Amino acid sequence: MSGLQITGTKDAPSITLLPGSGKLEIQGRSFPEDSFAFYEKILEWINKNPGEFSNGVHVYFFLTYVNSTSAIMLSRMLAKLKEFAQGKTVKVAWKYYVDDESLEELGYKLSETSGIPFDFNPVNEE
Amino acid sequence: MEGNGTSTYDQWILQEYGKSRDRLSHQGEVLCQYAGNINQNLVVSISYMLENQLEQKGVGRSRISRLGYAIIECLQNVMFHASKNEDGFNQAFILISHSDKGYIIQTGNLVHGSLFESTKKVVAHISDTKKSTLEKEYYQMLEQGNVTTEGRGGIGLISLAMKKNHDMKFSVIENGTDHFMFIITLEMLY
Repeated sequence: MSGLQITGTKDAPSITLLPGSGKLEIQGRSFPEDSFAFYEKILEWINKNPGEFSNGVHVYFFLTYVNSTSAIMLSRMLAKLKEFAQGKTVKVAWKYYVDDESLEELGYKLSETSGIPFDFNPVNEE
Repeated sequence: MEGNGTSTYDQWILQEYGKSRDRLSHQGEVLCQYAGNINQNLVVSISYMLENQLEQKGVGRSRISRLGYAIIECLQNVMFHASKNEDGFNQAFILISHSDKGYIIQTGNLVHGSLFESTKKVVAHISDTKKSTLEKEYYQMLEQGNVTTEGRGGIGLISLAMKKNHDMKFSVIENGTDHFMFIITLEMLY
């Protein structure tokens, strides 16, 4: 089974989903022209490979700008991962720049709406 | 857009752009001014340009992020909802200014008259609803994961209007043609 690897661009994040690991990494800026189409590819992969997450899920986020439709699609993705984890552990690491209140706030909103406790990790810019 | 001809609409956009630029330049320093077609490449360019400009001025991440997020939402709102001319381009403008109180983002674009009532409904809802209620609506949209390629339910504008330091105002201007001008002014206070 092949994983999912999408290279990041100036307006869309990189996505790495290693097969057999249950690990998903999403990093970068997320305001593509069509956030719906962009995240549908990931949701489609998740839907086709539910067994990948049946032993638990570990999601690692490190995002900067996230537009409102991307936020909705992230919410939808977290709900799907939680469903496929079938009661097993769902870990979400939410890394953001220490002064980026917008991203901190979004992390808390996504944690609350998904019902998944996030591990918040504010970092300083290099 | 047909009927009155593209040039009439271009002139109308440029007139409003000029008036807005004059108003904002009296209130503070204009950081960005643009009139023309707004597409995704422009959204990327303006967001990167502003980020670099503000970093060089020593502005902190928190402000840069807040402003960047608002610029992206405002521009993408124009991109998705502005009327397009027969060449497939929208006619719009964006102005961003800075004063000792904060930042102002203003966008203007033409919208087809058939969307007049629905636009006024969205405007009235956002203008007349408490920020706390808008925030609840935003949470609901996030929780339900409702998004389609066409109807975004005003989530972008709601996500901006609900913030406590944001003051969002709308103008709808008619001039007897089959289009109207839609202007959004977002004041982001420190």
